[in-house]
Amino acid sequence: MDGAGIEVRGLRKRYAGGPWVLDGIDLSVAPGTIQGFIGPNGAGKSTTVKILCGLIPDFEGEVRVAGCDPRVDPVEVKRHIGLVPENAALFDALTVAEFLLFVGRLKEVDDDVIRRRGQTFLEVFELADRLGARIGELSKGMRQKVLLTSALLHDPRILFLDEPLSGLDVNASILIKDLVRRLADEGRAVFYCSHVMDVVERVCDRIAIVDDGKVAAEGTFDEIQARRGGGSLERIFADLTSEGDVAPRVDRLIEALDS
Amino acid sequence: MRPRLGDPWHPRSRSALLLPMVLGAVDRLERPLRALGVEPVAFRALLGLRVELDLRESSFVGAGAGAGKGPSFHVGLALITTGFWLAGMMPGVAAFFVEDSFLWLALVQGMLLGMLLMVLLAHFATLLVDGTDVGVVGPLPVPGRTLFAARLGHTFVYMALLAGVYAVWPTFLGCFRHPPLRVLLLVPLCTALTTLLALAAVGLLYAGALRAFGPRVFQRVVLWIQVVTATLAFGGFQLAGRLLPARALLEATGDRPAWLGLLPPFCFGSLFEVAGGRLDELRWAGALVALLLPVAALAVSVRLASAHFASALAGGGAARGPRAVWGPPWLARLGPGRGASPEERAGYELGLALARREPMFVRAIYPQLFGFTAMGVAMTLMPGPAGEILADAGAAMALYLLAVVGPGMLEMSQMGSNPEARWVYHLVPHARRERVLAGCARALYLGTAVPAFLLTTLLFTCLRGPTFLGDAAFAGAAAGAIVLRAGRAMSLSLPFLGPFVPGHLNTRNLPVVFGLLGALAAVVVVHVLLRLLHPVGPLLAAPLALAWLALEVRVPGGPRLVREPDEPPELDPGGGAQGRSRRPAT
Repeated sequence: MDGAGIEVRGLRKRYAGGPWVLDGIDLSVAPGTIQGFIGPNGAGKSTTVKILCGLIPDFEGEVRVAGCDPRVDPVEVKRHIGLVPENAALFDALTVAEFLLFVGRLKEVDDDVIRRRGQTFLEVFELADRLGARIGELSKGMRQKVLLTSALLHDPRILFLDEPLSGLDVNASILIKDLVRRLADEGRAVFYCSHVMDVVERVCDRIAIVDDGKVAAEGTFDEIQARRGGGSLERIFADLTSEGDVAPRVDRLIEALDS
Repeated sequence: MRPRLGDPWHPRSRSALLLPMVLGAVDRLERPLRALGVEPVAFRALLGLRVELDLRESSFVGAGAGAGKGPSFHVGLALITTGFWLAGMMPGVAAFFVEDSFLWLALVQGMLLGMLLMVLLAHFATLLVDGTDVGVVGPLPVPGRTLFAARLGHTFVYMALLAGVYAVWPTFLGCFRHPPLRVLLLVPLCTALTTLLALAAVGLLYAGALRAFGPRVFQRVVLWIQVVTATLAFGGFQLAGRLLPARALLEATGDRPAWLGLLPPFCFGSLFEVAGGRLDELRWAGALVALLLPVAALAVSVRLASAHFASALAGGGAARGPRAVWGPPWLARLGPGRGASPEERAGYELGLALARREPMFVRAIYPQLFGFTAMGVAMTLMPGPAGEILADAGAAMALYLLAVVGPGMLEMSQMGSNPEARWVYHLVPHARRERVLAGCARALYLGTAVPAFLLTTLLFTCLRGPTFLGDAAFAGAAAGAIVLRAGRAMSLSLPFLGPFVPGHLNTRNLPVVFGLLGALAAVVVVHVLLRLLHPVGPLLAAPLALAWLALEVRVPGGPRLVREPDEPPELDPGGGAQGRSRRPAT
């Protein structure tokens, strides 16, 4: 495949002799594609993202990200990717500008480019007046915008977005969804994790539903819908991954409160 | 929320001196850094960031990664620095008594090496493996070796500060007794080399552990390396004092083995002699060891650092298997009884669990607990007839030293890996939070200090015989009563929720700590007097001490809880200090 995308074959991972968290994931994300990656809690989404980003070195199977093996050369992988993690840590004592300069320098971006790109992004995100504010003073949505800016500073070929709309208001969400679409249209591969099914349904070109460390369904939304006999992505997801009807489980919860 | 003055894209450091000095030094080291496989630009950015963050004050109570340091950090650092400055006086004054320059310089550097290793292992080595910022740095394209080198550089800044103030007295006073030009040139040089050597030793241990065990278990391995080496350092310092023929070395200048000059810290003495024109082969070799060993060891440790250092800092994706939730059941049964508030029981169980799992707490406290025991064991090994009496006293002293850990344990329990978990308490009124703290303090005493005391007692009873049980009963009861009293007088924050601060010291509790030390000293004097009166004197006095302890145990409450800046005036006027408010059952 083209070295600019993601290629995963037989990916397996378990922790300290426990059960397989990932049990044979196969996946290809071509440049110009937004790949949705969804699954219930504990299905292995975060572990997959960490492996693909070179953050977990011990796994089984073949993985190539931008043509590099994250097990062998995690630094080279990190040069080509931008990551927006779900629970991102930021340096609370730094100002927004200082944080962007720090991240940009570690991504080997020239200071002038960092300033130019950072200024433009923050102006569009209506955060330009917060450049000198400490990150610890920002709201969750503002932090998310800073995080998105830092992930894109070096113009990565591959983007990993884990709940990128978390904390954003409606206007900012629309902006980011359009931005992700345009980034993919310009030839970048986007790996998009989310629990918001209607966003995944509308934004992603292809969708992989992962459950118990395996890919339960994969394809375009239309393909998956055709295979599962119609319905929304939320309904298909529930059919594939849910442990039975919701109503009796809610009954149990209410009974527990009454007991 | 206002933007700061000036252009935010051209930020200025909070320090006009330290940061430019550090970065200037880094700029001059570009070539050697490249030779070691370290990327200078990333190294500069990482090191600059860590130093800059240390200079900034934390303005957020629940702050997480890179939140800056609070005043307790600066006060703690100032006290450790003062300690090093005062400690430097001893080898400085020794210059007038030790004629042999070789031995004097070995003494200066040996003492510094021991002290640096102790503070490194007890406090500052945590900077090398602190994973709080790895969430930011981990996904960035920084080679593991560069990240490791930046951590070493950051730790070196602190070590250099401590070593620098230590060297003031030896450099100044040494000039009056030894060749002044050589003293002025070589004491600072050797001090810098010793600092590098101490750092390289710890760096080698950690880099070697990463190579040997891999990133998945690295954090756990270095945690126990730190515990074991700190224990050895505590005990080893005492043992070295007991076992090394220091007096013979001082008196028999001409008879000392020639190879001694090849070993640190004696190699610095060889360097001093070579600089003075004594140019035989062994001295040359010793001088070369002094000059090259620290640099070579540091270079090897950096080269050894694995590409997966970032992953190792994050825990390498390790997950622990299932385990007991609240620790051994017998400890859980010792917790607050049925009459206690649910908050106190919750605090007890929290303290019991986290005292054994929170890496910062384990790193700081366990080496002290084991180390003081090791010091006691070393003291019992005093040779000669006088040694028998001193051995008993030393064994009892170990029990009193364990009591010194008490306030430190409560202080350390304020720091944790997840300060963001503070939200759990946001709707809990102050009085109820205080009960959580009281329960947690009880868990720390019963789950950490008491087992350490019992194990030490068992060890010394085996070493000294059953008569030691009388000493143990008196020392344990009296020290326990003092620790409980001191604990109640301390002001603390919420347990396990503060960001990590190396060398943390809360000035509010300083009088309590000094009071505890004074009271312990008084009890030690009484203990020694009782022992001198009769071998079973402490045993006869033990019931009194036990009664005192029983009285202290019956006093309700625990340490005072400091009101958080973001805490409303009072949420719980009904629950108040009565301490029995419960959520109504519905």
